[in-house]
Amino acid sequence: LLEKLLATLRVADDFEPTRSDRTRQAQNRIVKVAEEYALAHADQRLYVTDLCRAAAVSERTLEYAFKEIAGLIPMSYLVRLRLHRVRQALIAATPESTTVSIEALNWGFWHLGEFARAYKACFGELPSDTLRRES
Amino acid sequence: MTKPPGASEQPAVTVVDISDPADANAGVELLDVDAVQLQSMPMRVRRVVVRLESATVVYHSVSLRVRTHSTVRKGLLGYVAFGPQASGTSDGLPVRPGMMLAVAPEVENTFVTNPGWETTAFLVPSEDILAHLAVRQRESDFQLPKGVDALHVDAGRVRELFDWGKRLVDMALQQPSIFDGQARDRQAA
Repeated sequence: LLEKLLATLRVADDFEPTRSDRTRQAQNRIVKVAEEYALAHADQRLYVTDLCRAAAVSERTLEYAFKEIAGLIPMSYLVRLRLHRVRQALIAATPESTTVSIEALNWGFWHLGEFARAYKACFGELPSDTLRRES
Repeated sequence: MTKPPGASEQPAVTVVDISDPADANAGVELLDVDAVQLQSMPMRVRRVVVRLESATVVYHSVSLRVRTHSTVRKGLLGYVAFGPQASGTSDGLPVRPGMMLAVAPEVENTFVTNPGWETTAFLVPSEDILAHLAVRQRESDFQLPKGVDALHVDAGRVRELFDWGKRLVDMALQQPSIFDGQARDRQAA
C-alpha cells in the first residue's frame, strides 16, 4: 500500500487554484464562520445581519456564499444544521432524561409546531418518535 | 510497523450503511465525522473500512448532497483519491479529475458531496511513511501535509489509486476472512 501511495505522491504537485477556485474557497470560509457563529449562539434567535457581522460580509455576499457552497440560503442551511443537532441530542437521550421541547429550545427553536414540521420534513419522523426510539 | 491508534479491538473489515446523518461516525474509529444532509430525501452512505497492518483504507459512497466536517485522528495522515464520478467540494475547492488530498492529523476538512460521490481514503501513520522512505533513502522526496493540501496528479494515476483501493475494498467485502487472518495473508491480499 505504501509503495502504491508513495508512487502516486512522487508525481504530485501542489494544486494551483484558479481565480474561481479561490472565490469558492473564500465562500467556504464565509459559510464556516457563519456556521460556527450559529452554533456558538445556538440558543438565541439568529438574524442574517448577525451572520453578516460575524463573517464581515454583506448580506448579498453571505447569501451567494451559502447558495454556492450548500445550495441553500443562509437561514435554511442554519435551521437544517440546528435540526441535525437536535436529532443528535434526541438520539443520545431517553424520554426520562429530556423532552423534545427542551432540546428544541436549546437549539433555538421557539415555535414548537413549526419545529416539529421542519424536523419531520428533514428526517421523515417526528422528534417525539426519535426520542422514544431506542438507540 | 506502528499499530493504528484505537484500531486494535476492531475487526479487519467493517461495512456500515448509513441512512441517518446522526450516525455519520458509525464504524470508523480513526476519523471524526459530522454531517448535515442538504436534501430532504433518503440518505444512503456506504462506508467500508479495511484495517491492514498499520494502514487503513476507508471507502465512502454517498447518494445525495451532504456537507461533512471530517478530521483525521492524531498520528495519522490521510490521503484521499476521488472516484471518477465524484463531484462536490473540499474546503470549497471543486473536486475534479487529477485532484487528490493530503490531510494532516487533527485538521478539519469540509466536504460537500453530490450524488455519485465516491472516495477511497488511505490513513497511514506518518512514522511508517517516514521509516519506509528512510530505509530507501528517499526522505527528500516527501513532504508531510501541513493542513488539507490539495495535490495535482495525473488523472490516470489518481484513478489507478482509487481503483486499487476500491478493488481492495471489494475483495474485503467478498472475503473478509482473508483480512482477519495472519499478517502474511493480508500482505498477499
